[in-house]
Amino acid sequence: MKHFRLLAWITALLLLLSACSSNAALSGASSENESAAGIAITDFNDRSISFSEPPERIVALSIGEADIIYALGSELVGRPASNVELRWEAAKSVREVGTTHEADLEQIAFVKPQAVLAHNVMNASDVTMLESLGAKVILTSGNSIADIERQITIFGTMLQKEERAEQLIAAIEAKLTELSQKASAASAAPALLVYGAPGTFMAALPNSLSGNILELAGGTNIASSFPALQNYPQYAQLNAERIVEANPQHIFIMTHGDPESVKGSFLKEMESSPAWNSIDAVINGNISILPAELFGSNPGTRIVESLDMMHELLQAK
Amino acid sequence: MSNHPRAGSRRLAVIICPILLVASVLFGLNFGAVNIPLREIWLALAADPAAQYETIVMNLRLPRILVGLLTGGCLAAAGALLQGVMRNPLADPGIIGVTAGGGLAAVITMVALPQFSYLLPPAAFAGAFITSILIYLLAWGRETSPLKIVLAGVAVNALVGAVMNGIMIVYSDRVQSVLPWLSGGLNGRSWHHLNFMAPYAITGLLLSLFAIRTANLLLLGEDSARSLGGKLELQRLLLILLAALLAGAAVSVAGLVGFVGLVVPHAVRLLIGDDYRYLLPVSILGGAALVVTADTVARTWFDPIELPVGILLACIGAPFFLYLLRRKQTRFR
Repeated sequence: MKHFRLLAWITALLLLLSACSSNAALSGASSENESAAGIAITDFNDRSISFSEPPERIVALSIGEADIIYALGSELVGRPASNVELRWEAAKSVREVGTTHEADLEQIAFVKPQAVLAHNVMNASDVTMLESLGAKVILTSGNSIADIERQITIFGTMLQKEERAEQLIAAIEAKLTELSQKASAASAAPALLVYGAPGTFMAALPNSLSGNILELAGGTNIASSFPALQNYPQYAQLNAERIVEANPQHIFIMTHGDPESVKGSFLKEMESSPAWNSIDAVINGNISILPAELFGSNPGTRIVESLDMMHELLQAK
Repeated sequence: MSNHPRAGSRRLAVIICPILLVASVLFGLNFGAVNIPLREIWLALAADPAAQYETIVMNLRLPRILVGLLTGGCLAAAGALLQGVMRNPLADPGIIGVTAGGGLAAVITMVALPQFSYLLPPAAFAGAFITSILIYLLAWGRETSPLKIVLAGVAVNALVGAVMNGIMIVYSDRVQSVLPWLSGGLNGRSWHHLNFMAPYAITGLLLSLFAIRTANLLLLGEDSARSLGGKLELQRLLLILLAALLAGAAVSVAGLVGFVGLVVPHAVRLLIGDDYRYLLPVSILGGAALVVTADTVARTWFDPIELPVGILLACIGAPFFLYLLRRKQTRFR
């Protein structure tokens, strides 16, 4: 009995301590916000962040956010480490500070950022640590074109470049309008988006960025015909029988490896499987590798190029 | 046989296991994500020109079932042999590095070198087999005791696991694609997978039947085994290599399907005893039926997505295993 009481006290104490620390973290953020004035933004986690003036020392942990900052006419002091090169010449000499998966806190501390652009899910637990480095953290992600437009708006407001942000969004919207007018029966043929390595059957769902690009470029994702998948996050391992039954006319492969050699590997896998060989996309050779910089993760403002490329691939017969 | 206290259980197991095996195959052929009438399934199997679902039945379900049969049989045989050789009821293919070695090879192939992904089965087989040999070499000495092998296995598994985790962290953006393989699954396994694994698996299964006498000798303990004229070290090495061959064949195609190698032989042992003349064949048949049945559920229950069969096997196997243990404890109390 004595042990139970002791255990109950220890549990209560631990709960109290954790509640205090989380309250402290949250109240810390809000008190800073109250003291600041001028620019106010709300990130994807509904956190209010304010700056007295546009931050000049910005760190981005993923390529999409980095691209948006340069497209808005600003610069970074820390950029993501990635196999995908940033198209901005000025970014090439900027210090690498890790990625959303593994932020390099020492490098981030070294560049003394005022703002860190991080992922709203993967970096949510890093906020306290990043804020302890003196930076304000903006949590966003780009899982759809609407998300990317929202990122552009938030970063545009943060940098007081609202007009430029509107132009960038207008360019994306114009592309969407153009593609919806060009939509044809050929482009609407069922397509399968495969993620990763051959044989995994990991398919991109409509609620993933590449699934969203496919649909807005006029395509039809075979995964969208399964209502049960609506609540699955981004990718799911589809049943091979379902894929054969849906008979996709296009297969798009997303990979982070070298596109040509990965395509060869996929083709070898598909050629040796009679089930794959029964699919129209394989019979007609409509298998395409989607470049990682445009489809692998959020491409930022290059989403216009992603849409164009997808539309072009959908026209292939 | 008739005087043995478990003669009845053994007779029953010998009759029931083949029936379960056939039932699991029919269950697997009949059920899938796509609802196919029974008549159509038979038309497809008979290669009738009027068959509408030939691709699904002949190129998806049937090869997948055969891969599942071999995977279950090989893992159960490997587990049964290792539990005898190591004289350790908790021994499974993981203890000799098959899981870690196969996993590392898969992670390197799928994550770091995706252009060579089509080489996954041979790479995983080589990784599993080489790691097993490495563990045995590290444990090699004047006397290679099971304890030394287990300890060498712990060290090598930890090292290989660390390298694997390191690669997955470096390439963390690509990890998603390798997760189904690491969980063990049969989605999309077809004839070319079967063609790759069958020679190793069938050779291993046949050789395991010849290893029954040795495995029974080792059960008597090291001194008794030596006094009965066995070259203990050599026999132990051969049995470990055989287990590595069996488990490597399974891992190469099915990924890291866990629990079968541990639970099936152990459960069979609890039911019919230690004698490898019964334990090994019944484990092979039971493991094969279990994997095929679990895989049918894994590919049907969660349609249109697939749950890797390894996850389902752990969910079914762990409570069943605990039930058997508790039942036996009660009986012996």
